[in-house]
Amino acid sequence: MASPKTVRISLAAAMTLGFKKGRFYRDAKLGCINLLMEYDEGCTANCRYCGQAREIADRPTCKSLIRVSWPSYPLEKVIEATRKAAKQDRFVQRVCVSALTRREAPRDLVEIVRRVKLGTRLKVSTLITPTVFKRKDMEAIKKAGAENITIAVDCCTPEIFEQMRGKRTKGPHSWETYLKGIKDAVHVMGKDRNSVGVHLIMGLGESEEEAVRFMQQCYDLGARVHLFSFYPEKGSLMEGGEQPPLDFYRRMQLARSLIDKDLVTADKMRFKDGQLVDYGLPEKIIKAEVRKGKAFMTSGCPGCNRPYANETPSQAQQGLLRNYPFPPNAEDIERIEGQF
Amino acid sequence: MTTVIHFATLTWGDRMLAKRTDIKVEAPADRLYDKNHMWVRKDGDTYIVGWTRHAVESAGDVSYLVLPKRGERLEAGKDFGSVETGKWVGRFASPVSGEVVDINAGAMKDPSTLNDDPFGKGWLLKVKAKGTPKGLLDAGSYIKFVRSQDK
Repeated sequence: MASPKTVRISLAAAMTLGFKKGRFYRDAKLGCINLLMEYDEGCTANCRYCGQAREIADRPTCKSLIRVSWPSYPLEKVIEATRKAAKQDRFVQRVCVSALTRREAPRDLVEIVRRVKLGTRLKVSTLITPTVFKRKDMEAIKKAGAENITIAVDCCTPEIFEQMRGKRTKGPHSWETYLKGIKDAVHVMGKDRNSVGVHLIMGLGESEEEAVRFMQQCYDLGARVHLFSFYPEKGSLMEGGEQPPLDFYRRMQLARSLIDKDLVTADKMRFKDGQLVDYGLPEKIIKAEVRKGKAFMTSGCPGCNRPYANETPSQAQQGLLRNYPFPPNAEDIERIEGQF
Repeated sequence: MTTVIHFATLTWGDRMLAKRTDIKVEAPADRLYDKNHMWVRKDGDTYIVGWTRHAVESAGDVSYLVLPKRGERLEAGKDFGSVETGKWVGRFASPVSGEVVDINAGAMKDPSTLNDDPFGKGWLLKVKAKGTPKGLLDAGSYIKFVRSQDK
């Protein structure tokens, strides 16, 4: 089994498409059907936090990623079910195709995008690695009909990148290639900030200052930041790691949101010993932004909400939801205010 | 005092099945049920408590269970533990009052047992009941209840 003939889909997607039974806590709904390419030989990368890493993944039998299983289905079956699901519920509005690091991935991803676009007419996002996707591949992705290209840089500094994904973990990725990848994607897709995204995982060892300054760098390059909170993936090289403190994550969510909304830039913010102590805006505005709640919702391409991808449902029940997949209610906002 | 529930007219292993559109409700006739989708079966001087297949399948693949310890007291209708699936979490409510005398260590270790065999190996607790469990439904009534909920 291999892409483009088959793809893996997230558990949430499998539930939404009716392939798997199950419920969402607080009746959350999924807005974006997430597909992941698959190959018998697995991924050639070796990222320390990833369940697909070369040294730990059991190649084709490895089914876990971002906390849950990713069952495999024929692509045509997924396209048909997605088309039906979107017709029944307009909340399903997008398909995201994630690539593995393999030489043949660009060719196969373009084919998947083409078929998904043709079969569903939904918006299509792609999550790619510049290690194997070059500018000409990005142009082919755009030509195939994708509206978005997202680069999973994941780490906020070259040192952390090297340690988590580069030579120090015997991985093929490099910081310079990824930064060039962002620039290439912006060049190909244009500077509309909805077109190019950068995935960043908080909690990999960066300081708040490093995280915020790199977020700003991404925005300055013309990309938009999609924020994740590190979750120790079972079976990964970092399965013994800890989730970052919630107050840290809340500050990073708020800082990202303020930059995203063009309310402030990182150079106006103040840091003390690496910690964000001043957002560079009047307190009244900060409080209002917190009360709106949107800063704490999942950030991603329009429609992407990834329910319970960064925490367990039990943590969500305890008020420890990292990325809200729906607008936080008054009780949630009160809890969030207490988490700063 | 432990009270015996009589199942004289019911046969062990007898299963009542009802099919409505795509909902198949399975409810073995050798036990009683409540509206929280818990089942209870008399076993000697204790009651075995579990979660129905309908509830398990609705929730998804069970990944984590929290159950009380031996010796803890349960009250009918009150929460006693929780269950987590890939994208959902919920609480169990006890169908009986009494003392926990055993928990299913196998299910705690491998929660997928609840999905594989909710009426057998996927049981949750054994309870020494205080008085007669009240307000429980027989299999037929439980099936009717599930179907009415689905309308």
